[in-house]
Amino acid sequence: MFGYIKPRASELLVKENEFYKAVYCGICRIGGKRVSRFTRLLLNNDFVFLCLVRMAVCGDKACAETRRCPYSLKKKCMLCENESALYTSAAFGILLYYKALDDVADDRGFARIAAKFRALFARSMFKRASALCPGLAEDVKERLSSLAGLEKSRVPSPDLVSDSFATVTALAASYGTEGEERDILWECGYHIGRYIYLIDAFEDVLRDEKKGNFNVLAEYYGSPDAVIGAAGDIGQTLRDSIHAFCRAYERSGGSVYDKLVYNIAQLGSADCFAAAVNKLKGTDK
Amino acid sequence: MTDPYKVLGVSPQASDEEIKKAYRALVKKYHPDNYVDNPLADLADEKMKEINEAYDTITRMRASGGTYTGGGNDTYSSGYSGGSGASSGYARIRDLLNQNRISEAEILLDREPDKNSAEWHFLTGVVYMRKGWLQQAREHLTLACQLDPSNAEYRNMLDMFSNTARSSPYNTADTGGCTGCDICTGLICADLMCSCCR
Repeated sequence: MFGYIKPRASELLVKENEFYKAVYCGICRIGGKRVSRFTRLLLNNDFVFLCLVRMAVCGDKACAETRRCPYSLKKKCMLCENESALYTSAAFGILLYYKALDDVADDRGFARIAAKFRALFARSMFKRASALCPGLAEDVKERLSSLAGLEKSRVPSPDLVSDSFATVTALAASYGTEGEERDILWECGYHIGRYIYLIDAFEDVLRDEKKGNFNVLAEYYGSPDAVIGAAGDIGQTLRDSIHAFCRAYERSGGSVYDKLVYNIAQLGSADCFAAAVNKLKGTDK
Repeated sequence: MTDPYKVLGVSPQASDEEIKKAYRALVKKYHPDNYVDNPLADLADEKMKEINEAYDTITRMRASGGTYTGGGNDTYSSGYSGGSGASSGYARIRDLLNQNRISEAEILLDREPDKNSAEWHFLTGVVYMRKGWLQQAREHLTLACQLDPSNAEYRNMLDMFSNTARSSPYNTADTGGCTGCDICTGLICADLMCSCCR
């Protein structure tokens, strides 16, 4: 996952922003203790958002305490450690390992050696993470393998190709929950995963062309220029995903996290897409 | 069980030849010989099994005129005759959608003889919407509205598609609506202008 889900801080109260940071620090700390110290180096905003959504849907209390940061002892920070943070850090460890394996299979030359090195480090992370979430690793492996197959076959369907990745985030978001909570988290995770996959494909369309990598939007629209020309349509389908996420999240019945969750989903995602369009149009010139 | 069409990366509308081609390409890709001494060998092996199962399932399903019983909740039921009249077919599909039996509804839609009617596009749009395939869902719902512009149900569904959560405080944030901040800014500007005129 690639860090496309961030809050628009200017629209948040100071305490809301502090709480967001506390969730980040909570995952970082609990992941550092129970999964791997590499969590701190590699953790991104997408997982913080998944954790927040899980906390909201499962009704976790919005409690945070001040502790010294284990990675910067001079600094004291607010931390929000709970079961949701633990599951999120474990899911992060599992996805990171499979991403490293995928890079080993795809890369060539020096990049492949570097990817093997990363996979070696990620392996210990993966072992501890899969012990925390039994069964999740197998399910994720199956979906990622299906995604790799679709990408290698260069299937030109944004919905079909993003479906596999979206299912991975749905699995990670809903792991260990049941009933209505599971249904809501599955749906939320699915739509966020679809959004992440497609905005990443959009932003990387020129880079993928240079490297000769598969890009589902370039396959669908015919060329990178056509993808940039279709930014309006792509923005529409990304907004559809965010709206579907919001409708699913609303079924959880409301919580103290609502403003933060909607801020990230609606405003943060719009900012990320606008930044991607600007980047592509700037590069295009 | 996973949708066999998804496993092969083809649409349920694909011809037998396309399915065979997709199957062969996947077998070639995941053949164990390509993964000797590779950390992905066990993954490739599992993928091969999945591909073979999916191909067998589709072949059997098509040979027996569409009768297939999968594992778990994904049960594709038999007993539907596509030629028994479009309206009764659509009624059955609506029932299945109400029961959240999406895979079965999708198969019945695929067997409908008239794939250009507004109702077909509407129900296909709903199927894709439930699956989370939102690009195709929007395309089919838009087509249904174009084919039958007077149908309120189609229009409502398309409108609902564009709606976000009602409880979100940011619903008007990007629509250019007038917020409290805009009113304050307007008042401050008016006050400044008055001060300048004195």
